[in-house]
Amino acid sequence: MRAAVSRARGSDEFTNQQGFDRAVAALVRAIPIPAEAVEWFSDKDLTSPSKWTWKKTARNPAVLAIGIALIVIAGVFVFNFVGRLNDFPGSGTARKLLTIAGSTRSVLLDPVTGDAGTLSDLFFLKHGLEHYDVPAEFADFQTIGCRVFEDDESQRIAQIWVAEKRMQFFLFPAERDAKTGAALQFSGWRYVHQEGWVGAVTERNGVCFMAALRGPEKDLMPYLATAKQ
Amino acid sequence: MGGKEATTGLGNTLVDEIEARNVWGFQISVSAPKQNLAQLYRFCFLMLGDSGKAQEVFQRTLHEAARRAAREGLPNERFWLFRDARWRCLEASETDLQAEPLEIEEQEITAGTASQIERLEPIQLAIWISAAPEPQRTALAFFYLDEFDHREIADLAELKLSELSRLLAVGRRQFQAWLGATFPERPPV
Repeated sequence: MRAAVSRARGSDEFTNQQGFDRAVAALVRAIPIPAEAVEWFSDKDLTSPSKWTWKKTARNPAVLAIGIALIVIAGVFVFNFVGRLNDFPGSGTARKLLTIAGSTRSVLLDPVTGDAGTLSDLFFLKHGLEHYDVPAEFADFQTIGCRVFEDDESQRIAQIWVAEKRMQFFLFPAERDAKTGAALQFSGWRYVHQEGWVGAVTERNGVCFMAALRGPEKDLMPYLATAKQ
Repeated sequence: MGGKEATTGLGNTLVDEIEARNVWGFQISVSAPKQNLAQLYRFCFLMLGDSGKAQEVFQRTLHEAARRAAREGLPNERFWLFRDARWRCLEASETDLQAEPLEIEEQEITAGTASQIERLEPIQLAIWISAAPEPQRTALAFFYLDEFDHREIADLAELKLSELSRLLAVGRRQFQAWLGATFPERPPV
C-alpha cells in the first residue's frame, strides 16, 4: 500500500490534484467575511455572562460532591467528638468487657450462689485481688457464677453473673497514669455502650466496677438511682 | 491540502471554547476564536452560494448556540456547531429552486488548473459547490474548508470514507470540466 501511495505521489495526476485542491482551498480562504458576521468574532461573547447565584453553584455536580464529602467528614469528626465527650479513664477496657459480656455463656463461670457483695473475700483469698469490691448498690444481688481471667493486656478481670435481669458485673484495674503510675480517678457512675449492651462504671480504690446488661441505659438507671437515695 | 493534519483541531477548538464556559456551571466569558467562526461562515457561504443567506444561517446558528449555552448548556458533541449549521443550510436550500439532476461532464485535472482557479471569484466557487447534489455539496464544502480531516468530514456529512473519497474525486473532475468550459486555458505563448 505504501508503494502504491508513493507511486501515486510521484505521478503527474496526483501533483495536479494537489495543485487543484490547494488552489480551491486558497479561494475558499479568500471568501470575504461580512461586517455583520465579523461582529461575532469581536470581544462580544456568544452568551452574556449570567449572574452567579448560590442556587446555580449548589447544583453544580463538582460543588455538590465536595459539599457531600465535607458533610461526611464533619459528621465523622462530630461522631468522634461526641464519643470522646463520654470517655473516662478505663472506658476502653469497659467497652471490651461489654463485648465479652455479650459472648459469655454461664457454663464458662464457676457456679457460686450468694450475695455479690460477699465475693470480695473470695477474690482476695483465692486470687489475691485487693479492693475487688462490689459497690453497695449491687452487693445484695444473688450470684449465679463468677470467674477471674486475664484480658489481652494481662489485666486480671473478675466477672460475676447475677440472677437479676441476667446482669453481669466486672471488676478490673483502673487506668493508670503512664508517668506516675497512679490510678486515674473519676467520680460517680459513667455509662458505656457497646453492641446493644450498656454498662455503668464507677471507680474506687484503683479498681473499676461495671454493671452490664443487654438493653438501653434506662434499664440500668433505677439501680443507680436507688443507690443515690 | 497540507494543512489538513494541522487544522483538524481547529474545529474542536470552537466547540471546546464554547463548552468551556459551562465547565463549572459558571458562564465564563470566553470569545470564540475568530478563525473558526470565520470558517463556519465560509461553510455556510459554500453551502448556499449566497452571502445574505449564508449570513442568516450563520447568525441563526450562533444565536441558537448562545440560547442553548444560557439555558441547558451546549451539547457534548464535537463539531456540533458545524453540524447544526449544515442542517440549517439544507433546510434553507430546500425552499430554493432545485437544479434538475443532469449528467455533468467530467474532465481529468490538468497542470494549468491552478491558474484557472486563481482567476475565479469566491462567489463563483460557492455557486458551483452549492449547486452540487447532496451529499456531494456537503463533502466538497467541508473538504475545501481545510478545517477537518477525512474521518471528521465523513462523520459530519454522514458518509463512509470510500463514499467521501469517490464524491470528492468526481467533484474535482466535474469542476475541472466546468472550469474548462468557462475559462478555457490560455494557449501557451
